[in-house]
Amino acid sequence: MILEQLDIRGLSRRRLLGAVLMCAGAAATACGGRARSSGDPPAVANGRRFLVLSADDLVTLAAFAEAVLPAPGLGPSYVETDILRRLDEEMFFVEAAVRADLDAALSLLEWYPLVSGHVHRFSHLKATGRTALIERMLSSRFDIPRAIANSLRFMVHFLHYAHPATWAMTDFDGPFSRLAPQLSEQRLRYLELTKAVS
Amino acid sequence: MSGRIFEFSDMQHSQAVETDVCVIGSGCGGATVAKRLVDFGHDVVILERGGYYPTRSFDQDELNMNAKLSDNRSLKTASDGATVLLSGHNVGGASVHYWADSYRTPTDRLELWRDRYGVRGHGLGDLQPAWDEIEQALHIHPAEDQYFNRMNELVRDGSAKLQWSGSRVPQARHNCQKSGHCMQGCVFEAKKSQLVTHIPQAIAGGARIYADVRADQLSISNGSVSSLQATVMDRPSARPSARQLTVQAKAFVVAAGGYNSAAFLMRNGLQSQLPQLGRSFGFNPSPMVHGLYREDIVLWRNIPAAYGVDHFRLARYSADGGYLEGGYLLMPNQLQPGLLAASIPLLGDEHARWMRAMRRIGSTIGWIDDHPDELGHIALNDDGTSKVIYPYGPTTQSMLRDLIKKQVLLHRACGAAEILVAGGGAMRFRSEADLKAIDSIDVRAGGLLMGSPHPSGGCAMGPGPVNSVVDSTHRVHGLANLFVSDSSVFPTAVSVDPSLTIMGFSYVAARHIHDMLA
Repeated sequence: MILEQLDIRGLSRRRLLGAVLMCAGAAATACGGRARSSGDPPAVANGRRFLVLSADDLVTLAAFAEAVLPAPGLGPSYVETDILRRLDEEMFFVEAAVRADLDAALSLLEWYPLVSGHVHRFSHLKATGRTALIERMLSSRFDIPRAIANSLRFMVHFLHYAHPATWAMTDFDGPFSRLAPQLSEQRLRYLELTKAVS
Repeated sequence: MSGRIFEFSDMQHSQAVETDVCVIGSGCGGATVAKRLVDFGHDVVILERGGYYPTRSFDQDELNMNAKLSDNRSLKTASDGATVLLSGHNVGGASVHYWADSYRTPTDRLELWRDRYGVRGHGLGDLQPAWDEIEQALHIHPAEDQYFNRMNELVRDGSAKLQWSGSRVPQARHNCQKSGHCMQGCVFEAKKSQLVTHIPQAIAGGARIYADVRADQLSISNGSVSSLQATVMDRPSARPSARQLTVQAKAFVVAAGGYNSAAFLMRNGLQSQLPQLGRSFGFNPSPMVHGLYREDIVLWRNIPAAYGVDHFRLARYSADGGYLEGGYLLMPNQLQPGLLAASIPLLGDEHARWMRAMRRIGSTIGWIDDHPDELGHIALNDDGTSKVIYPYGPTTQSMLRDLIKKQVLLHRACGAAEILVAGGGAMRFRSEADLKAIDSIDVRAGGLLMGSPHPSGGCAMGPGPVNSVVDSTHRVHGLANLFVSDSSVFPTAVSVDPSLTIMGFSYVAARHIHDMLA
């Protein structure tokens, strides 16, 4: 509710994010939780390192992806299309400002429910509650929640439906020439940096 | 003498090179000006911040190629958080992923630039010889019937029903195989990007291209530039290496593209003497509308835009100056599955319903001709990277609403069963009442999802340093041997796809640089 009462037009994007995150931090403390930090180390999952996304980031992103992708059985899941791993890779190679925006967006999304009338963080909401919240954010009259929900939705849908695991569902016949993938130096470096550790 | 391309792996130590002309950037502006200067007999070095990806490295994979060819992997937006900034990051620049639409600059736009902004020497008579030559070299011609996919046929026939004028879009391509992968780079070299035209021609004439090199610091003294300090980028990590490249030259040409040239000059501290640096910035905001049809459309094959609606290219205003309609080109759209899915403003199962019917999705897109009194500007982040601030002023918002409405009308005329506007919230159109709702669409962050493929301005051309950045010879005001040759010199948007305008202007720039060197 706090966000809905803010007139953000006079605030810069970063100042508003700061204000919201301060509210979220206070709410987190009151709930006995821990406010996430941009200094959190990248996660390790299934023995493979991530380079950008922290464990908290992965939890929030997974919850978001579940909410915007089709229900189980109606198409491949975010796990099958490897969205979290691919987003980590994409983010490693973009400008720091883009990474910072994603970090801020995930923080705000995770705590947004607590400042908009819920008693749980985003990742702790039921799937239907997450979808409803995202729909509210997308139709919000305020710029920041709308932009965050739309940007995250854009990235999740982009990475999901570009993956070959979705092609049967969409009846996409694949790239025209059926060429073998040509991995760039950056793709190879990412694989090298994140290879499984024993 | 033949030149060559040097990549990060070829530059194991810091080094210095000397040349006649150093060109920063290798897209339509940089490659063309370099090729012309080589033709004049000059030694040329081209610096390109992105990598060199030859055709044999193309695989038509949407994500792989987006990562190779698109700056910041198409994930950077303007300050509104929703307008995706699209530019190249590779030898050949954005031409490697562009659609190959190749219009001559409309005469009315050249006259506007002359009469309102004081641009000289860029009239029809100055540019026509360049265009004649470029059109022949790049096989530019109106799209033939065989290159109309179903979406193009629908747009042609639907717009005719609505009595909107249109025409076949001039294409820079030869022997096209209709793969639909223009945005992933053409594996057949049918699309005549700079990578397969002016770049190899410049190299054949002796040009040296240094890929993976970021231009940093100009050494300026007594009103001229003596050298440029640059950093070799480690392409595998996309991070700067410790290796430096120093370029000494008689002339320097900034051709880093509409999103980067002004920012480069700002990082070099030129804003205090050039108050218009970074100003007058436009980027052709491009809203999209999708339709779900009862027949297969297969949006992702054949060429993107064989036919375009130019009926509304120029905005119309009432006698008292109020906006009436128009100010955009309206085109068929082409998207591969990832970007198509990302532009559908639905969630969960409803989004999946559309994606399961992907073969029947049609789409249109339009380029807003940025209103000259509502342009944006480029600024620098603390770390020196650029940011785009675009105001979406009241007339621009009216243009966007009108363009969306016209796209909806077009989809209806084409027989679409369902219609959606690409954006944050789901905007569907089933009735006249829904059409009226477009008038109240809130054009703000996350409301619409738009691309911005055609940056212009930031280093606008004009007669003096108070109102412009470069003069009509492309020379930066106050600096004897520093030039700009890309879309950043345009005083306003071009009102059509800008590649041929950029190349024509680069011919003019090359002639002036040659004159200076002579």
